[in-house]
Amino acid sequence: MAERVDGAGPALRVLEGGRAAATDGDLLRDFLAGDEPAFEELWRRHHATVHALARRYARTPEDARDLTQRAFLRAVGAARRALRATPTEFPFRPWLLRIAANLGKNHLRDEARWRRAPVHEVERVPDRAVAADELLVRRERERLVRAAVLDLPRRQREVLTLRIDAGLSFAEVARTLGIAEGNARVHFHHAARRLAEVVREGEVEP
Amino acid sequence: MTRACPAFEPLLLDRAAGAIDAVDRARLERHLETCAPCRAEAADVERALSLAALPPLPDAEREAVARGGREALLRHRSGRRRLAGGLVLAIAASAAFAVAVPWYLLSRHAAPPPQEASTGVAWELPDLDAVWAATDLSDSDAAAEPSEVLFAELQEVDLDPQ
Repeated sequence: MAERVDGAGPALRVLEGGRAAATDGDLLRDFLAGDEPAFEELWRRHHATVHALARRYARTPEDARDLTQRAFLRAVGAARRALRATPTEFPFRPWLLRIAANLGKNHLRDEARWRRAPVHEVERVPDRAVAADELLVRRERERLVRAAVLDLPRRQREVLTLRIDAGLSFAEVARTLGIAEGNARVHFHHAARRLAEVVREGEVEP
Repeated sequence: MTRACPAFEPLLLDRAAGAIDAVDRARLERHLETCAPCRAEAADVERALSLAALPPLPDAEREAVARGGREALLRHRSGRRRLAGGLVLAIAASAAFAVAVPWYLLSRHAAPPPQEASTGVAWELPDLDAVWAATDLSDSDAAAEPSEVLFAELQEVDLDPQ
């Protein structure tokens, strides 16, 4: 599928059927050898998933975009180091998603002092047609449940957000986190139970 | 506290996750027809996940995110340049330090010794290997690169209480 071409510059990969046929590993190696369009293909493949995760932790749309870019840069840097140490296949997408989740959580911790509204509240345009009380109740419940998502134990939070934000199957969630699929489901169950409790608790409060 | 039947709770959670196979779904739905506590629990879990889900991304924002790849590339390039520049400066500063310290110490040594040094205590040069080893060649930009700390963090066991 791929063939090395030696030339004056860095050895780049020429792909039959274009870059779309390349594996992430091929693209990564090409990018690290100086082929910038290879990065663009990696970006095209994965940016939406990374951004979907980043949004959970971002306070503004700009923050979410910044976190997405930083996750890519860190994953590429991690790949550069790992491949230098051991030239083997680098699990780019799992690392990218885990880095995104870690960066997101760190970002949230660092930004907590600003107490700005979460991005999903900034993005939403108020719908004046909906009864105000109903909307307020819904918003308050969303706020409680989304805060509870961020307070979940790390593994539960990772599994939940990889499933409901990034839309990964449990098999891919498991591969991303390096755990068994059954284990991923169990973490999801714990997380969902906890969120259901939060909803119930919110309803009985005066 | 869940009110669901233990045998069916995992199935209703899988259904809420959108990850249940057809056989289990049919089995669960037959059970839900006759079990009010499981119906209530299923409704609570599905409502909670619906509240937790983020609203759809506006199209304009989706396009802005997609365009970020070029910006990320520029950040990558400038980060590499800063890293290289910082490394050169750090090496230069370390080299200057490595020359200046022995020179200073030697010049002190060459000067007439203070009275108390005449008691026979030898003045020792610092261990230059140790000085060099203790010199941090990294710069602030290196912190923006994935660090060994990050590797360790990603590989650490899950310490969260379940």
